[in-house]
Amino acid sequence: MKDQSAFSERVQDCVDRLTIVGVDALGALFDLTSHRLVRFALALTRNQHDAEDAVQTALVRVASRPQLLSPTTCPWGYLLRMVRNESLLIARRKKRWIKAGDLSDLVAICCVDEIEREETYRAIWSALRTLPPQQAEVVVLKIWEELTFAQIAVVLEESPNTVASRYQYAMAKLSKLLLPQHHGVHRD
Amino acid sequence: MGCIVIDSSDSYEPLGDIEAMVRSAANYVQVSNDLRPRVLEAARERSGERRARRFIRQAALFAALLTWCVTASVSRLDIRDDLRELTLATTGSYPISNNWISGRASSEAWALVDAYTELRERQADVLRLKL
Repeated sequence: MKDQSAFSERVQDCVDRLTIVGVDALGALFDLTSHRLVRFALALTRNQHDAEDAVQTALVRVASRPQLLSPTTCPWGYLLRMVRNESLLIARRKKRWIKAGDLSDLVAICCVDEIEREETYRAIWSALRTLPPQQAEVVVLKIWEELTFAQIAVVLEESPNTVASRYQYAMAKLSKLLLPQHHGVHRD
Repeated sequence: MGCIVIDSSDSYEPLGDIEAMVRSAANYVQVSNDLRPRVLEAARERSGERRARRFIRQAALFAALLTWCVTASVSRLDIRDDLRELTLATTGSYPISNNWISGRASSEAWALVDAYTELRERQADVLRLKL
């Protein structure tokens, strides 16, 4: 949680610099947020190109009008919401047919010492793709972004109860999909 | 959407496991190398477009202002020309002859008064015609 508030402050700093300096300060905001934003957008679009397009559109919009984020109390939350809206637009427009377990679009990098864990990572990403986008986005925001249900509810414009129940459904499905395999990997 | 009841006695541990597992895959997917330059270029392009649009708007405003100024001064010049024409028309064709002056009044002062009166009458006639 402490990390999360520190991250939000850093996003705020980047937005302030963007307001003062202009487009030249966009690089810092990109370096800070792009990975997290693409990861989040992937939960909705299920395709890396589309996710990156959504992030690009949102960041370009922020660069041209940084005042969009300046007055908000949590610019990071607002940025997530912008990317979410763009992702939903793209997902609606393209309606890609994705084969179950197909991760060919992903740009994945695995360190040498983590190669043996790559299978697990791929299984996790495949499992995430089998979830409905509404559940997948909650999982991403809860586990990877370490937001509370209340914060997620603000980003998604839903009630905290709805968000919590989506999370529980998602975790139940992920348990079914991943735990037997996970144990299997360890046993091997 | 209703609430789900999860039996915490046997699901707490797996949920913790599954959360840890998902968390471990957070950095597996990376951003494409070309995304950064693409975003920066698009942002610069858009900012350039906005600047160009602002410049065009200002130039159009300036041109409109200039047109208005020119039109206003030209119409003012037209009015001045009309007045000059009026003056020339009335003064240029005024037939004052020495005989007429000497016949009407002996002194030059009275002749000047008569000429001025007639000039005003002619100007009034021309103005009436113009209107």
